[in-house]
Amino acid sequence: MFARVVWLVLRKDLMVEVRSLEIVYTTLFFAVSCVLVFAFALVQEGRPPADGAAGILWISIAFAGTLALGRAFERERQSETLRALLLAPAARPAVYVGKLLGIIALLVAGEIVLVPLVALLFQAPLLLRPIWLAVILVTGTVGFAAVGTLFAAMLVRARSRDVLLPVLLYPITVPVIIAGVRATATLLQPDVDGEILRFWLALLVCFDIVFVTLALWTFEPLMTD
Amino acid sequence: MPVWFTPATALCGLMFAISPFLIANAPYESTMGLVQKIFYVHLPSAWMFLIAAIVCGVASIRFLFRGDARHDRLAWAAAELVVLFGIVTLVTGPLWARKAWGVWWQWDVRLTASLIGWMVSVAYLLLRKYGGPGSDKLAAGLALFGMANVPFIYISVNYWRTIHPTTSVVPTLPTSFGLPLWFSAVMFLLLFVLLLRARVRLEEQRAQLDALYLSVDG
Amino acid sequence: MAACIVWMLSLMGGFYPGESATDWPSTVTLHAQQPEAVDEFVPIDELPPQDQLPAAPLLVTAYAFVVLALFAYVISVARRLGAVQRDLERLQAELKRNGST
Repeated sequence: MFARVVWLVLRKDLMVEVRSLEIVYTTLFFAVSCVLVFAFALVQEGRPPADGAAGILWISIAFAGTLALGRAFERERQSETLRALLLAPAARPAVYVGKLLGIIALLVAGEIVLVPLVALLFQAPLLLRPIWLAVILVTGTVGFAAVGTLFAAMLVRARSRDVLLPVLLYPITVPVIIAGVRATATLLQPDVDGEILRFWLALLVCFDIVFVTLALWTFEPLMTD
Repeated sequence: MPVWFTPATALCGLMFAISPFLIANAPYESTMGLVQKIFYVHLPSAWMFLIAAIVCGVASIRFLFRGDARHDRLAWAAAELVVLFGIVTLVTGPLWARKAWGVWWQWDVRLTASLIGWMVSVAYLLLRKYGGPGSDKLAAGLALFGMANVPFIYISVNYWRTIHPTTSVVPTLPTSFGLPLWFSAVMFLLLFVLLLRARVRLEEQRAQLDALYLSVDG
Repeated sequence: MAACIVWMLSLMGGFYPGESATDWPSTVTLHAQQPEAVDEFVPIDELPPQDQLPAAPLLVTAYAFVVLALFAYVISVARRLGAVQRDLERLQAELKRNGST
């Protein structure tokens, strides 16, 4: 039953998005512009800053993610579908997980575009160890999206929601981004220190567990009037 | 205001008056000398910073799951105190560090996590001020996540290599250092309770005013 | 969640990272001193020759800041409380006037 609700919510989001592709296109374009801004600002005489790629990748993910979150829930607000979702006889945590998976899918799509772009513009061997990179990106994205989905959902009816989402989101997710950047930077070294990489990954996984648990626990009382 | 408020304020004022003498008479620490005396305000305010964050978090949980407005008022008051004591900690620390470590700031775990925790409480206040109706619940949710940060800040210094002193320093303090420290800590705790009570009173008065406005309109 | 935290701590204890794990960007140090983590205070009075940075201005600034910050907050609460008190009294007086007509 839980899984069915999750799947229904996720499918609804994906279907709505596939029809217009509005959020996908705008978020991707924004992410690409973000990376280009960094490239213009930081590349001097054709040489990118050393070790800059990891940080730039994650900052672009964070910025694009915030934009996507805002847009995704703005759409819910306009159609009053969030209220309909909450009125449905479905477990609230299942609704949250469904929306979370949709946001993660969107962010992962963005990352698929961002990673080669950053690797190209900043001459970083990001694609050398793709599986480890994928693990880092997914765990980091889950942590960021878990908090982001909760905050974006609860801000839907608040005033100044556009500016408040980053204000609330970034202090909480900075540890996730730090861990993601450190893990990615470790991966970019010529010889990877496995111990340090596993340490940062363990930290990311722990953030994920804590954030998702807290979000599941508080989603119901936060969304109730 | 409750009966104990005025005598407690008097006691706190007295303690503030006595404290400079206690601190001045404490012995100098060998490697840091005079600047180490900042310890007697830095450490208690750091403790109040963490305690306020915990109070805010616990009150927020109770507000989220019980809906009693009193807990919300306490949470808001505690959040303001997190910002206050956080600022004091984050300013006195670097002033001490400039002499003791040679740098103003280090991006080690404790300092970074403390800065982030402080920013969460500032975000809480911004949300309360600009979020419009319903922001009390949202802020409670935020405070929960912020509180999860607190134990991390405290124990981080024991597990990561850092030049910040570890938590084993305080229990092993000699009495000559310990007395002014604990005196200062009790003083700050008393101050914390007083400020919290006063700030909660402000919220209670505001709630009373709102109720009165509503009764006039209705 | 508690189990997760314990697990995380044991992981970190096991993988106790070297210097580079905490290789977060550090500010440029003017002096080279980077003492090891302190475990105890040493209350000996002798002061080994350190850098010549005077401590007194830092100490005074720190204490002054503490006093000013606390004072500013107390004033802020007092002012806000006074404003709400005044509004309350004004509203109560108005109610009494309207109620008596």
